[in-house]
This record gives sequence, structure tokens and C-alpha cells, in this order.
Amino acid sequence: MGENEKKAIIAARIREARIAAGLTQGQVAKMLGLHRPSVSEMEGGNRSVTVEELSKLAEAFDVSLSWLAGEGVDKVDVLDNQLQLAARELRKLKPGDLERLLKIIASMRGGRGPA
Amino acid sequence: MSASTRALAHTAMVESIEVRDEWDREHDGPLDVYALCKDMGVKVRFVDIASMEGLYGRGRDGKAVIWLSSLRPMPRRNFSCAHELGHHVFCHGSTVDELVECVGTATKVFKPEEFLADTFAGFLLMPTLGVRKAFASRGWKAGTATPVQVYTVACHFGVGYDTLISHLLHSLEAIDPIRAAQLRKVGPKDIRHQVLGTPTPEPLVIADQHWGAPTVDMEVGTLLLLPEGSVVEGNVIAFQAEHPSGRLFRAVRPGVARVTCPGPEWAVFARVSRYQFVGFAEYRHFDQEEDDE
Repeated sequence: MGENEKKAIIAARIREARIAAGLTQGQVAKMLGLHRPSVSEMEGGNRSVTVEELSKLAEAFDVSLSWLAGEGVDKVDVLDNQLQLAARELRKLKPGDLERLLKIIASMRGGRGPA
Repeated sequence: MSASTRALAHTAMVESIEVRDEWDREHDGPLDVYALCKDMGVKVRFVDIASMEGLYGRGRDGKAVIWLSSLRPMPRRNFSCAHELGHHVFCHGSTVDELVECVGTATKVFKPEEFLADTFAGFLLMPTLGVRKAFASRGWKAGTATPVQVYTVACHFGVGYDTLISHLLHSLEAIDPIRAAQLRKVGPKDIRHQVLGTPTPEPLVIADQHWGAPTVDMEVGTLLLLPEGSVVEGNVIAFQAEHPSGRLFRAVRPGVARVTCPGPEWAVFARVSRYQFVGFAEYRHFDQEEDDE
């Protein structure tokens, strides 16, 4: 993987994880003590992200640092016997929603970001 | 209620009391279920999935997560969160493939785990002492309360009107089935119409000086009826109109605003989230600039 390709993956994952966490660019900037354009540039792949920043972002977004740093793949194994769930409404889910939900469930395992 | 379901209900009630005790919550007031989840180490995340209510999961590392549909009304989300927390407390869980196998099967089967979680949620959010106090402090009685009074108490606990009626009927046995049916003949839409004098599709929160929590939680678009003379600081809540029953405000942007009422020296923080907020519960009331995405 080239440097630019990795940078693009990191940028895309920061954006994806930020949105899934429910944060705006301005809110993330405030959490990291940065100006808002800095976060916008990170997500655009136009600014390098330090390890310290990535670590803070991973904590804020509740994703693993390695995934946010571009490691691993986006494909997830949605069926995991070691994950215990309680769901009263699963059987009522529409097929598309079920697929989305299973991806979200898979995201809680290590080495992966948000679904 | 059969003996076995009564025993389950008793277990749920006792556990809800123990949770309040263990996590230092009073027994006579409303509860911020998201703050409780945070204290208990359970992460709560809102997702925009239309055909689900909630889901509880526990990973192999012991990490617990509750997913809630952001597309449900706020009182429903609160109750679902307490329900899923019940699964956490009672250590319920099936594997994903077991649950997926159930997709498409019949749903009208009594499931003790679901009954337990539901009853736990009811008692956790609406403790017996708290419900009594909520009616008594306003000079009302549960057995004779009007729909508007029941609605006001439902707002007090952050639950839906029908949820409170069910709790009063089945769990607390404070009203009989006839009274419950009479109350259910009047829906929240009718109550909003009655209180505001005009048909209003937006959700309405009625908060008065007997409000038992330090916060009033809303999302953008929610209407808030406050006692006469109430003042709101900042630009999170906007004044709408004076009403015979108080001052009407609307939540217009995410953030936190201080509300004061000079007469009875009552103050509360109004917390507003984005409409149908998607993300972690702990971020839902963060301030947001207008052009910030």
C-alpha cells in the first residue's frame, strides 16, 4: 500500500468513525484542541495526523487505534458465537435493516471501526 | 397476572431498587438512564435503523453496548434503553446466529426474559415511591388523575403516556383496567391539543416546579411548556408563546440552556440533542455551530 493510499484510508476512516460517533468536525476540533479546518483537512487527506491525535480520535470514536490508522480490512464477519446479544425485535427487522444491524454489531469487536 | 409472572415482576422490581442503591440514585425521583449506563460501563449508541427498538450486546472482552433506534420517539428510546439495561443486569444473551435463526418466526410467544427486562425498565424509570411523590407533590392522585395530569407525570419520568398508564395498571396496580381504558381513549395528540389550544404535531414536554430531575432532555423541534414567568438563557431554546398554562418554548439547536422560574425558585438545565441524533449518548447534547457538520 502506497503512502497516499494509506493517507486516504485514514482520512476516510476518521470521517466514517466521527459521523458514527455523532460528532461534528467542530466538536472534534474542540475535543482535540484544534481549529475546525484542521479536522476538515484530516478528513480530506490533506493533513498528516500524528499518533497522539489518532489515539485521541480512536478513544473519542470508540474504535481501535489500529483500524483508524489504516490497518485491517473493512469486511467484517457478522456471525460471531462469542458475542452475546439480547434482542427482542430482531425478528421484526426488515432484511436491509438486519444486514445493517449485523454490521453494526460486528463493529463492537476488536480491530474494527464503526459499521 | 399468574404466580410465575408475579414472581418475575417482583424480581424485576427488587433488581431495579438494587441498581438504584448500588449506583447511588434516589428512589423517589426520575433517573437519567443514559448517565446510569455510563456509570455502569455500558456504552449507548443511537443508530438510524427504522425497524428495531433496541439491542443489547456483550463482547468477548466483556464490553457491553446498547444500540437504540434514533428513529423512535424520545420517551420510547428512554424506555428501550432501560429495557436493554435490564438484559445487562440479568446477564441475558444469545449468540448472533441463534437470533438470526429466529428471524421470521412467530412473535406472540411469552418470553420471560423480555417480560423481566420490560418490568425492570418500568420500575427503574418509574419507582413506586417516585410515582407516588410525582402525583402527591402536585396535589393529584393516580387513581383520579386526568389525562393531562398523567401526561405531565409521564414527562416527569421521561416515558410515554401509554407506558405510564401500563405501569400504573399492571406493575403498581394504582389504577384499574376501566380507568386505564378511559385514559387511553385520550391520546397524546389530544392532550397537546387540549393544553396548547391548537393541533400540534411536535412532541411536547410539560415541566413544572415539581420536576424531579436537574435536567429536561429534548431534541430539536420539541416543544417545552414551562411555568409562568420562566426564563431561558442562551439560544438553544426559543420562546414561542404565552399560554394560560405557562410559557411555551421550542428546542431549536443542540446544546444546554439554563431555565429559571422566579416564583417558586425553580431551576433546571434544558438539554437539547440533534433531531433523531445518531451517535454515542454521551455526545448528544454537545453544542453545535450552525454551519458545523
